[in-house]
Order: sequence, then structure tokens, then C-alpha cells
Amino acid sequence: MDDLLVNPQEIFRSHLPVGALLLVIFVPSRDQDGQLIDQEYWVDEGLTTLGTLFRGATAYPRGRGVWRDDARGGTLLREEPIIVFSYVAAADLTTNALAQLYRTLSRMGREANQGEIGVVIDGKYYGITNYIEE
Amino acid sequence: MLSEKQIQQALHASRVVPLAVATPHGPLGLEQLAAAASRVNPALGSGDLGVRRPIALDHATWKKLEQLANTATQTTSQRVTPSQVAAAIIEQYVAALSPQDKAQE
Repeated sequence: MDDLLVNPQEIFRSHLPVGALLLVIFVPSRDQDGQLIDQEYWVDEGLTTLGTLFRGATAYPRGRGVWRDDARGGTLLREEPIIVFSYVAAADLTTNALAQLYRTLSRMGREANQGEIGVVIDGKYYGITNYIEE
Repeated sequence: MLSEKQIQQALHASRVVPLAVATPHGPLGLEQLAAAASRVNPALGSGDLGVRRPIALDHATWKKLEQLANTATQTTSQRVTPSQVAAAIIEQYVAALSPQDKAQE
């Protein structure tokens, strides 16, 4: 039973903390007026920010959504929000790291014309509507 | 580990909503998490977008709607668009109609 008490970090010779908190940001495909935004750019920005702050991040394209716009002759408009997520070590979730994350999200909210930017941290949704001017 | 309040302050978040997703891991868990988040913020997903119809307004009306939207944005700290103000006014007006009024429509 002693085998169960060993430290996995010692076995794998890993000296870096293992993230356990799920942090998710949502990158929309459209602005609040329904216009397409440069989603790829904002996914890259999200990945860069989370990767820098928390050592890694993954973009996960969701299953495609669709809705019929009867006002445009039944044209099918596609919604493809992309999830960018990271597993964060509790020790890395600092006010300084979140302040840097806020700067990126604030810029996305302002420049991509979003009513609200959503972040999920450890099962709680944080809605950001106040965007700083840079 | 930061508290919920500390995270909210650091992110300048205007609201915090717990999401009831037991296991938000893996593709299905993330889909479930995204669905829960889109119920909190419909703009995040392909939730119920309602009916969308273009309507014609004169320029003066649109200008007033823009002013109302600016005022609402300043007072509520939520970004409000003229279209949202127009939709809210129409929905409130229609909801306040008596059944007799509605029958005459």
C-alpha cells in the first residue's frame, strides 16, 4: 500500500504545479449587432494570455449552431462561439494574473463590440461589462 | 486560492452566477458548461435569439433611441444599444395592452 503514498511529481520528475481549476473564456463569433467579428484573432489573444499566465490553454470549437433568419428569406446564420480554456494551479490564480486577463477581455469587449464578456472560473460565471479604455 | 469576491473585483465583473454543472471536463462537460453559460448570457451561444425583423424608423426617432441607449449605458454600467432600447419599448408597450386592445390588432 506504500506505493499509493508516493508523490506523482517525484515519479515523473515534474517540478511544475499541476493545474486543477478550470478557467474558461468564451470567444463569440458576432458582435452585439449581429456583425461577424475577427474571431480567430480573439481566440489567439485568449490563448496567448492564458498560456502566458497559466502555462497552457486550449481552444475548443463547439458544435456548430444555426438559426434561421426569416427576415432574410430564411437565410441560415451560423453561430460558432469558441471556448478557450485552461487548467490553472490555485497558486497561479492571483489578482495580478486576473488583472492581466481582465485587460485582454476588456479589450475584446470594447473592440469586438460585446455587451458582456463571460469567464467561468471553478464553476462560477463572471460577467464583465465594464471595459477600460487604453 | 482567491475568494469569489476577490476574483470578481480583479476581473471588474458586474455579476457572478454559479453554474450547476457537476463535471465540466472533456468535450461533453465543456458543452454542458457552455450551455449553462449561454443561459446566463444568451449572446454566448446559439440560445433563443428571439424573432428578428428589420423595421423602418425615421432619423429623429433613431437619434432619440441612441440618446436613451447612452443614458442607459451610463446609469446601468451595461452596454445598451439603440436596438435593445427599441425592442424593450415595443415589448413593454405590447405587454401593457389590454386584451381588448390586442383583439383589435
